[in-house]
Amino acid sequence: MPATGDIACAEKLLRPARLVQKAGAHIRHDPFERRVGLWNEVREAQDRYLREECGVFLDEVDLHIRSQFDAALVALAAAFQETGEEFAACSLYAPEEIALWQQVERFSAMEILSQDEVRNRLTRKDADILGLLKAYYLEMDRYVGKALDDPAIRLALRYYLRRRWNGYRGKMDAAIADAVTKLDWMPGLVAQWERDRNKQGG
Amino acid sequence: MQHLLILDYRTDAERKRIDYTIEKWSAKKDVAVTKPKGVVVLFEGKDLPEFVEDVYSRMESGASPPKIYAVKESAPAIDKKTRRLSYTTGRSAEIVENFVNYLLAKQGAAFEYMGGGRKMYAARTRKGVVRIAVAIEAVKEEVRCLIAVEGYGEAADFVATRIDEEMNVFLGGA
Repeated sequence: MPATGDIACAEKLLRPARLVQKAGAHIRHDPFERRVGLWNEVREAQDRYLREECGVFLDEVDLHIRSQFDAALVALAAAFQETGEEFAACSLYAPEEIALWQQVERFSAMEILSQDEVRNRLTRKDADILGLLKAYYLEMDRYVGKALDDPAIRLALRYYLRRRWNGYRGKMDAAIADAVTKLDWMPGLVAQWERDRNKQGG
Repeated sequence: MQHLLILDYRTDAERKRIDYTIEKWSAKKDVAVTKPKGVVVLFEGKDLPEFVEDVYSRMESGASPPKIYAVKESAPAIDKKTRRLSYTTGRSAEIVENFVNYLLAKQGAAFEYMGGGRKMYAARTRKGVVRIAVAIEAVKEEVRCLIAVEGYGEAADFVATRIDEEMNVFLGGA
């Protein structure tokens, strides 16, 4: 089937999903009915998109658009779970899907930090950044890598999280490599992380 | 006469709601509702004595003696109730739709799908689960909004009444 997709139409349908994605995990601070309203808007837009109201897109573009709907819905499902509110519709996402989104979201600080800023914070021994890098080094990269290959997690969500995670890990790898050569205490710390990882059976 | 009910559930939250209902009903004077302890098995076939003997032989001594009943399937006639609400207004379809979306979100109703000119939602309330169909259409100078609420027991009335109250306040102010 030829690609006849109307990108302006798809962009319009993606608006509520983008709104949720911009808020990220902080969407949980919005009132319950606001989140339910957003859930419904995203679900309806997803339904319209899947019915090809905006036409047919090339496979890669199609996967990207679908991933935006799933990313927003799983963020909302995570918020309902975290606040302990009962909203049955969020069982659309399996616990592993919500957990994977939450784990990647933990690293969202990497979204706004440049490589230089990460290094500066490391120089100051910033506890938050050190904590994230340690979690990354010890467990996260393996956990996310494995989860992103798990067929039980829907493909569009894996696509979205893989792109996000690859962006974060690029920054973290570069920051660690840089810090190891420039900060005299860093090689010792990384060696300690290595030992911890080996103890964990890695 | 005793009745055995086998209630399937998909989530832990659903199981808890079943437990709550059993607890609520077991407090009533004119009924006896208990949740049997142990594994409930439906057996059909001619080898019941052999099956029972086999099960007995694998049970620890000290466990309560098994209770065995002969049952026949019973399907009490329980129909879903549907409450239909209909409104006509001079307001635009977009305004009505936005308000209905807000109302449904307030009820915790989740969009399921659309088709046949209607949007379908599902909501869970303290009175039970309901499904809500919404159709909004412009007819000449007016906009018609039809809402059908379907559910068992008091759930449909409960949700429809809440929607109706708010719709009347909203449209009354037009």
